[in-house]
Amino acid sequence: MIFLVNIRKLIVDACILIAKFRGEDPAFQMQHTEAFLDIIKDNNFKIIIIEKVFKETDKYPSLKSSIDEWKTDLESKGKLELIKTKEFKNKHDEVVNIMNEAENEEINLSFQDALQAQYASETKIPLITWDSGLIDYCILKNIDAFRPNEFIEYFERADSTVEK
Amino acid sequence: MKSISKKGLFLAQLVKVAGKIESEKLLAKMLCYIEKERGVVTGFRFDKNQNYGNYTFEIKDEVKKLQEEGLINFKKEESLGLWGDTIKTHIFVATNKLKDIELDLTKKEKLAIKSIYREYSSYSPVEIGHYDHEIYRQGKSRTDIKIKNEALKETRDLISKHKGDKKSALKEWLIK
Repeated sequence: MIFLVNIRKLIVDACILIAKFRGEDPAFQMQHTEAFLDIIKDNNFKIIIIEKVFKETDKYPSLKSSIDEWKTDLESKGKLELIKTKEFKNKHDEVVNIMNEAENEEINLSFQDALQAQYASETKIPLITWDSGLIDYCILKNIDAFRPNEFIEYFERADSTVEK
Repeated sequence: MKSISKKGLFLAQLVKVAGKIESEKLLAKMLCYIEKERGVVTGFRFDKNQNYGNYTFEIKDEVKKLQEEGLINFKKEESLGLWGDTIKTHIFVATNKLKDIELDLTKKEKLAIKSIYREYSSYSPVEIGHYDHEIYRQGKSRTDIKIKNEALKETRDLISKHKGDKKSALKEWLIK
């Protein structure tokens, strides 16, 4: 398990953004998503989102304008980095390997899950998601992945030692 | 261990993963979510209306058997609440015997148990109750699970379109 000291970047799954804006799911999920994003904002973390994963939010037209506004705001503050799809052009085999490994463990991953797991594994940047399948795979493969509530817990524990 | 039912195995494995669970309600609900959210059949009977009466009765029954096998220590503790009321806490502790044995569950079943424990153990029974109220009692479906299933379906459909060739399917998905 990582210590959040000196961690300045986090890979954020699109489901976090959807949880922030959809306003209809478990209250605790929304509350923890908000608290997580507040920590990011107030503590100089940078959010990394894979562009192709971000595009998944296009499927939710009613949320799109709010999500785009949020994205523009963060980009203008230099707190958001989008990873281009071309970054994965030589990573097809690795992503497929992840899907196969997950299948062997009876975990179903979508392409976007496998892409994020590959990127988190390669960069060693922690991944934040509400997706249980993705978390389960990451646990098995010792990739750092947290739900927002878990991140908040670790952050609060490490807070006194984190550089501000 | 032949006398332990499938339900007992699920219960024992959950306590084994946790080490200690200090709420019967939380234990019951985690067992419920293993089936509802991970699609793994535990053998416990579920009530559509989230009435946990029967469910906790079943847990008591299984805990008794697990105690007899020396796998779980169960105790009740009483403390004084803020309003002078008595608060009863049910505590389930894994014994060393339980910690040392491999229970006869599949990899998928063990993973589902570990995953649910990780997801819900940090919530209080009150938060879990709130979750139930919002999602199950009002008959809502979880949007996050719906989103996940749609993404999985898209992936499966693309792989099937490419006759099982994941790499080609991935390439198409990336340029879509």
